[in-house]
Amino acid sequence: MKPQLILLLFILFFLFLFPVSLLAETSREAVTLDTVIVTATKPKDAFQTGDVDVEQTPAFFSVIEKEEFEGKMEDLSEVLEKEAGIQVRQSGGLGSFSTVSLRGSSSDQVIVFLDGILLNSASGGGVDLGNISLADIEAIEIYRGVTPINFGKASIGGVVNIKTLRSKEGLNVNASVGYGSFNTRKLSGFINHKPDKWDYLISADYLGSDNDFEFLNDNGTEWNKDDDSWEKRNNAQFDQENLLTKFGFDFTDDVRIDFVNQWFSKDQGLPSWNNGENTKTTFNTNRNISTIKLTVNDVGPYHFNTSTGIDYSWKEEDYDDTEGHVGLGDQHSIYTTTCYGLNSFLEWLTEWNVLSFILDAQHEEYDVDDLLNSTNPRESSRDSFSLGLQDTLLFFKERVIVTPALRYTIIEDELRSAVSSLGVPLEAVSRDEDYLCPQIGLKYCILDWLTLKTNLAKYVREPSFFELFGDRGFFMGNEDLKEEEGANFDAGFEIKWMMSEKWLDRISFNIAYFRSEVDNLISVSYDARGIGKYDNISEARIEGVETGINLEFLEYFRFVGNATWQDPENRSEIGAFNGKQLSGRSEKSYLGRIEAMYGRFKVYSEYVVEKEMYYDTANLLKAKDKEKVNASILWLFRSFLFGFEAKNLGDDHYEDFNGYPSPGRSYFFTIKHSL
Amino acid sequence: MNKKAVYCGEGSFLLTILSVFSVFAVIFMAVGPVHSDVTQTAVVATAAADYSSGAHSVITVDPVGGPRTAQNDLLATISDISVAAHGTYFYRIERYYADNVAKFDINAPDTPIWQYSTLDDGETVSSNPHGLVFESSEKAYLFRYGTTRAWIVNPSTTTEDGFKIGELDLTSYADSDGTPEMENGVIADGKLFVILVRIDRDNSWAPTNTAYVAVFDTETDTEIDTGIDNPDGVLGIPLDIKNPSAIQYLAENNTIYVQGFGRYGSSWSGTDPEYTGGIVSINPDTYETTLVLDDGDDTDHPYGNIAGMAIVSATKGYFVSYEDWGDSTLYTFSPTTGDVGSTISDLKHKGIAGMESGIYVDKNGMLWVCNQTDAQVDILNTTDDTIDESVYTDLNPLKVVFCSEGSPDDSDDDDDDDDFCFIATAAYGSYMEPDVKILRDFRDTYLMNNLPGRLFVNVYYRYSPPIANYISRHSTIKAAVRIGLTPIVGIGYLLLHITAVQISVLLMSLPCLSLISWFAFRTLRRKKAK
Repeated sequence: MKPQLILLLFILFFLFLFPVSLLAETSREAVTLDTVIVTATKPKDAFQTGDVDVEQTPAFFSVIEKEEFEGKMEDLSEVLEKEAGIQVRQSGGLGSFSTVSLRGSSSDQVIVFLDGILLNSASGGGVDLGNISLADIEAIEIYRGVTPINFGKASIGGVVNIKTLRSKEGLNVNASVGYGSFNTRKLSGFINHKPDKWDYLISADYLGSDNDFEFLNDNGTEWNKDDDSWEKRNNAQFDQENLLTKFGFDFTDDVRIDFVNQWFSKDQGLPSWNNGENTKTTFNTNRNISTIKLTVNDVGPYHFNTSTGIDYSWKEEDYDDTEGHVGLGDQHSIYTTTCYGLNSFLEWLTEWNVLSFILDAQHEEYDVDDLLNSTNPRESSRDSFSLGLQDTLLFFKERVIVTPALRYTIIEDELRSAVSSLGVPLEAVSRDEDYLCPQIGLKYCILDWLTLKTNLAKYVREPSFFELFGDRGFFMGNEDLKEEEGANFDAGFEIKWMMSEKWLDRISFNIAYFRSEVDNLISVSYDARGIGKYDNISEARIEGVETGINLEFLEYFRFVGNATWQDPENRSEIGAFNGKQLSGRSEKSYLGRIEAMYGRFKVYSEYVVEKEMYYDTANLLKAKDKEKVNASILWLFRSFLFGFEAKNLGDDHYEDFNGYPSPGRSYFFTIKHSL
Repeated sequence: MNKKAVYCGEGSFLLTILSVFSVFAVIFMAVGPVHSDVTQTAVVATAAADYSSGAHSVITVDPVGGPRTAQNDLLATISDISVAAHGTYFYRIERYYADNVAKFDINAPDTPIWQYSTLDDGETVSSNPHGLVFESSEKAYLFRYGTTRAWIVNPSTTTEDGFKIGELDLTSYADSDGTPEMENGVIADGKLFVILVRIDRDNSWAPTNTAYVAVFDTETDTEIDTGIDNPDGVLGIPLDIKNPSAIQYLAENNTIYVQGFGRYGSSWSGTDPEYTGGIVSINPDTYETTLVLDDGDDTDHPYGNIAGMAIVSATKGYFVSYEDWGDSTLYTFSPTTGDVGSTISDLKHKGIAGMESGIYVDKNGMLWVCNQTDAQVDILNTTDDTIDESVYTDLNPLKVVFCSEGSPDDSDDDDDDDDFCFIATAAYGSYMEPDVKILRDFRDTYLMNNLPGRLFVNVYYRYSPPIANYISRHSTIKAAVRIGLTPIVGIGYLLLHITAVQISVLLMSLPCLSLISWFAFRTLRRKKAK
């Protein structure tokens, strides 16, 4: 606790600096404040109040722009896995269940936002990246380890912020169609119009695949090769539709209102472990997110910029395994998550600092309807209330930026009383916790081309409903669970150099060391009856190095590479796990991509490697090292963009999850037409 | 004749005889006890505490007192596994949706001999194999929990086509969820006794149906009509206990024991524990059942749910008392009277596994208890209920079986009663008596490795149980049988504790001794004649 107290005092000291700047500002206000404010205003179209100012943040981050994945048949997991420090695990082909890990964290420890709306559910299990459509994404921001205060919620691994398409000036229309291996088909359309003060945007897309790729089924008998056979993957098909509608109105240059609605629907088959032909298990998801957001800039005498939003989201997941092909026994359950949220962001820009304040309140209800039992309701709810304060202090003409911040969160969980399927009254259970999470970051531009960054932060991950209250009798609840606590540290530097050489146009390089100490790690263990129970019986220490390089050379070529080495060490109380590598995390991952652009052609080839991953906590089941080669060619012909890509040219079959193969070689073709 | 000469001659003769006996004495004194050629090795199925993987361990059964040698984490796999053993082979069973059995030789415990699927062609639902019971090295019964048909298999096959050789149809015992949930079984007196749990999987696995034991003739593989009335109109034996999981046959008193745990409580469904379990005994001849140990009722249940069982003798057994998650205690009890003894001090409030599927002692009379709290096997001396040694298994132990080397046809798995000498056990009162052990070792070493010996043993096992039963009830006859067995025990001991070399020396020394004696006697006669 002592280091954290010291850190807290340090942060409070910096926070108290702002009254000094306030006085300084007050004394200058009468003369030059308006000019200062104008200087500090950010471009409206590309940047909105509430967005993270990536130029100022000391956090290590990546931004993946739309152009990186346009014209490709990819899902979000395939886009993310190519970034340094990020590992994605997929349970099959395109659209299958997939989770993300940042710097060796678990998927539960990564927060995913969609336009500022939290996608993580209190029920737990991380966010399924397969349920996020890529077609209406403008950019993806990834903050590793340290999360800017713009996000009301943070966790030990970091944040993935998905920004959907934003209205642009004029009329923009495009449509695209794609087809590829395993009967994969894609269709999307987009229209955006901003004639004057008002604008609208509609994006609709469909993506589907049979995912009937061939793989070698060993029939569950690893050492009996005689019964192995090449089979098509059964019951892995999916169809998903997505509709994004946005409407905005600029009352003035400083006041804008946005209405956003995103509807998503996905019908998905779940293959059984033995690839049974008659498996009919399905998992269908319907989700709707509605948001109203009011942005008001330059408010009051201090010229605050504010944004306030109200959101409502509803998600229904229908898991149908009535013949017991996949799970333990017959099951047909509908899981409904309903969420109401209020988010208010305020920032005050001065010549010396940017003070940001966030208030985030959320009410989430989770209901499980077991259709095979007459009545067994077990509604849960979570109320969370977060306050965040961050002061971005600017020194020496923004060459030195120090960003202390504080988040305070209150969480109230309740498992409502009910009557079980056996007619037994079930008592309510409640739990209240509050957390204080400080953080501080430093960004130092030593030279124009050399920047040093370092961050220190404390985060928590509160237990999920599943871990607290149990499930279906196979897991006992444990209401005494404490939150996971993590202390994150990172330090590194970035080089960005524009060259005047003919053979080398630009070079950017970054390297960062990261370390995370996680206490009270929540892990499951089973008793002799086979009933699981979650408990705080583990700790973890994760440290590693991530690097990235981007070279533009010989006018037409670009090389992108990144590498991550990490040591995610389990420090569990259980002897068989202690000192072992945390399961599901690769120790090494590399990416190398060479691109060539000539005129309207762009060609690239990339090599992706992930090594040294274990499926299990005792490190007895080692996953096959993954090596994939992908290639693609894009051709812009008038208003048409043609794309052809080949994935996994080596035709190797890997399993991110033990027993769940992913596709081999595949080909896809897309055409996009823009008006 | 000169007396001195006579005495000298007689003295020489005596000296010679004494020398001869001294030679014998040296031979015998030089003879140290030779351990039986039969050695046992324990095979332990293990699983990670979070069920993310499983494996098996092999541990030497000797020496008593330790330290035993363990090899852990062999051939990692899924966690839902079990093991069975027969002779020098053990079988690793991978259960729910893995559906396979792999065979290993104890001398190469990390190299499977074969691995075969337990699914029929076209079967889409997991067979979930739970147990493997051996009738012989060429015939065993595989209990496929998720189906209505048990398989008859040939463990000695070298091809997958030769693995399944028949079926036992248990469809008549299926309840509303379509399966009878065959859990485990035991062979006694030419009959296979199979536990059918009959829980309602469509109703939160509630034990609402009557559990049964079905009986099959192992010669014809046809079901035997036990003639016991029951509401379901089936041929088997209805049980008064719910959720039966362990079954064991004790040859000593010709009794089958079945343990059931009733129903565990669940905070999820809000159900309290149901104390409808306990331990029942079954007469394998009359099929009569008796509740030996009752777990109590809602208001009085001093031992919680009875979650496991091990029967060592007619007067000594153990049961697992389950209180809460990871909280079980091992008790002693009498399988004859049902009286509960004491707790085992080192096995209180631990996660105890393995005994829910039947367990048995090793050749030294030690009970191997799976202690999941400490990830170790606690080897319990059943004579004084102290822990002989605790062996760390890295992962949590699930179940223990034993392989035997030196007698390839001997079986030491939990369902085989070949290890017992019925008449001797009845006469001496306990399987663990030293004299009974000598007879057992003699059988293993000199009878089971040749055809006449095996024929003799088979006939003995077929006809001796009722004789042993009679003996055990009459103390006078017991004493008479003990006296009659004494010379046999003596010869057996000599043969077991003299090596082949020493026998050769003995045999070679006999003509030498005869020659010496003849020479000495002739010398004496000559002197006398002079």
